Amino acid sequence: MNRRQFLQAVSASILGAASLGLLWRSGLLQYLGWRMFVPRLDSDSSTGSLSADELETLVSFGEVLAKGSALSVEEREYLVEHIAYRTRNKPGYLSLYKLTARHLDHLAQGRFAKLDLGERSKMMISYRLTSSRIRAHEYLFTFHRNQLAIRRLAITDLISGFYRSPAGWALVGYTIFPGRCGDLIRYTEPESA
Amino acid sequence: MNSAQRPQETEVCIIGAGAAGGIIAAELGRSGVDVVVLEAGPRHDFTQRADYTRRFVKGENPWKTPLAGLDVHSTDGDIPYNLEWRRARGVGGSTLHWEGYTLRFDASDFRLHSLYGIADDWPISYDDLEPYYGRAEAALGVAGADDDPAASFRSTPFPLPAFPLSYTDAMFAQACEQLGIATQILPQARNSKAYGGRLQCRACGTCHVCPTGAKASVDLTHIQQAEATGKVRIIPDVSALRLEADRNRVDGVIYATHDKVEHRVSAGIYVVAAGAVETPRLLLRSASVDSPGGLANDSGFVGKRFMLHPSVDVVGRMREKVYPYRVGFSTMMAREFARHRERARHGAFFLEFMNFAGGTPGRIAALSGKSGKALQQHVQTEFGHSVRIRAFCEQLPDWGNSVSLSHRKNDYFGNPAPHITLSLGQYERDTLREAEKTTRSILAAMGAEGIHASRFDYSGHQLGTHRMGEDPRTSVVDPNLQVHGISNLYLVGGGSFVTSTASPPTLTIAALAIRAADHIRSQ
Repeated sequence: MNRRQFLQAVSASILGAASLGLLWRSGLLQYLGWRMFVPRLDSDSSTGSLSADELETLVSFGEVLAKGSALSVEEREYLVEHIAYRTRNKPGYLSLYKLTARHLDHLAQGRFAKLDLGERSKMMISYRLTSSRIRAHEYLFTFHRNQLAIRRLAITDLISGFYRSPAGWALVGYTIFPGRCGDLIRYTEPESA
Repeated sequence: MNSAQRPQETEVCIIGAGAAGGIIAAELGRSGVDVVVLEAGPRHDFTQRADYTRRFVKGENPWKTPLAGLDVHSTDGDIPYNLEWRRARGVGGSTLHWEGYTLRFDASDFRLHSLYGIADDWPISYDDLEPYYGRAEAALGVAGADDDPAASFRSTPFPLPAFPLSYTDAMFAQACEQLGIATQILPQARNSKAYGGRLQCRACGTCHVCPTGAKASVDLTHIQQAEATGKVRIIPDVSALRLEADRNRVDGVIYATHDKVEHRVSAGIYVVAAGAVETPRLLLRSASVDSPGGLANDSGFVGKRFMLHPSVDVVGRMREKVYPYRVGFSTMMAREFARHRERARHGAFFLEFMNFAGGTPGRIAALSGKSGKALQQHVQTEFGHSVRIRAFCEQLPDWGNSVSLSHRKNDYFGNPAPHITLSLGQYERDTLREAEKTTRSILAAMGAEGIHASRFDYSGHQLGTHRMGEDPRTSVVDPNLQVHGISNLYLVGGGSFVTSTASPPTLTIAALAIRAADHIRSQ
């Protein structure tokens, strides 16, 4: 390489790095990364039922996510009903939840559901499985694609499923809510009345 | 496509079992007229409502057309108008999922050109339609109050007492009073007490799917009664493909079942009631040597001047809890902007004070990025403080907005899908801005914080594509909704509207349908 070629290579590298920096600052690079690498449900996959063990793993996972404390029998049933409905009716969820259960058991080196709530919580924190929020750069630079899919899709769905159920409404003080009929006076007064 | 063997014969064939078609079927059936109704969607069994409600609560659209290939369409213009959630196929049509708001238009709405020098006047007046409004209100069971001194004359009282105002309505009303804005109870086709063999509303909160049948939908208010006469036959899950006609008369309608076998109905009179998107599509698809530009399209107006109601939501946060989501419909409105005097400058708008605002616990939780105890606390803190006002705005008829045949997409039967071209003009943008300004001022007067407007949205009120008029050169149907020059063809529904007004259109669609039924009967 002669001096001229060397200078050309250095200039190109600086220009390239500056361009990348500008794209990064503008958010365009993150957006493109998000578009390309964001996990999506496989809408062509089959629907069906999970095994009892898989369901138990997911409910144990949902318990930590939704409340961080033990769920009542009724609350667990709402979560079970939500997961079962999704896997039976919505393509993509059966494979997503099978993946999630398998991944959790793998991380737990055994049955995730057998861990007590504190251990589950600790493990989930250490593997960043407590939040669905994913920063744009993680889509570009994370190699644990399964983990990203679990965070983005499974965690969001378990949390929203729980809070959309009567259990979620109960936590904000509503025993009657959209989908459960009541009377025609309640909406005219404050809830405590 | 295979052809069927034996054509069916009837006195009247109606295409579409929604608000207009269902009402006409019932009116004619009661008079002893033989009617066949072709409906592109399924018959939704009322016993399925509980399951539909569960699915709706889970974020699904239970009214979605099961045969997805029927609903394809393409779009153009500024607004990529998506039809899903904005119409429902099935026996009952869009009344299956509508909000149920039933406002009469104001007398001034029929005379925009005479009063303000914009758009066109309707060929009928409010007085012409007034008796039919009364009949439509009685048939649908409208609950309301005569609380608007500026409202146009009514000869009959509301058949049902009004719903009481909500807890948040009192806050909205107080702020409006400070600003000198009059508020009214929002009339609606929903049972404030048992009526028409249907139960009283129980505030189930899922009006998109009413589990009790307290909200009027023509499958419950008209179709059952129509079939009970023994004169009306509903054929669900069939698509009208084309009308066969010479220049002055329709001879038959060709329809197909889902197995793509073609059938034919022959009738004395044909009524197309397929909505402002599908009706022009059917006419354009029925082009022939006699009508190369499409059936009933000598004027060139078929599919043109498509309108709807652009809308904007303005949201704020109150310090105290306001307890949303305890009822699925709104109970109060402000109507003075729907008949204001500045209409030449910007359009009319109608304010709906919402009883459901901000995120549900499910939505707040899903968007929070939190988990465990922090999540629970976040949901409890955030839920229940939002207030929201929606403004529906008038859109003027514009030749550039249209429904035509798509060159890009075909439907399940291989026929061109509808192509919707839609943009907003300066008039509509000014209207939206004015509406947003007004709603912001109301929320500010309430003491709301963090006031912000949503992006513009668009209603499911599809209007204007086969407009009525006296002049065959500038309209498709006459004031009786009979096609100019084709005496045995009627086009009913929102497509016949000359202007959109700012008000929900269904009561006017129903009133016009009853009026058209009277005219058909007289023939």
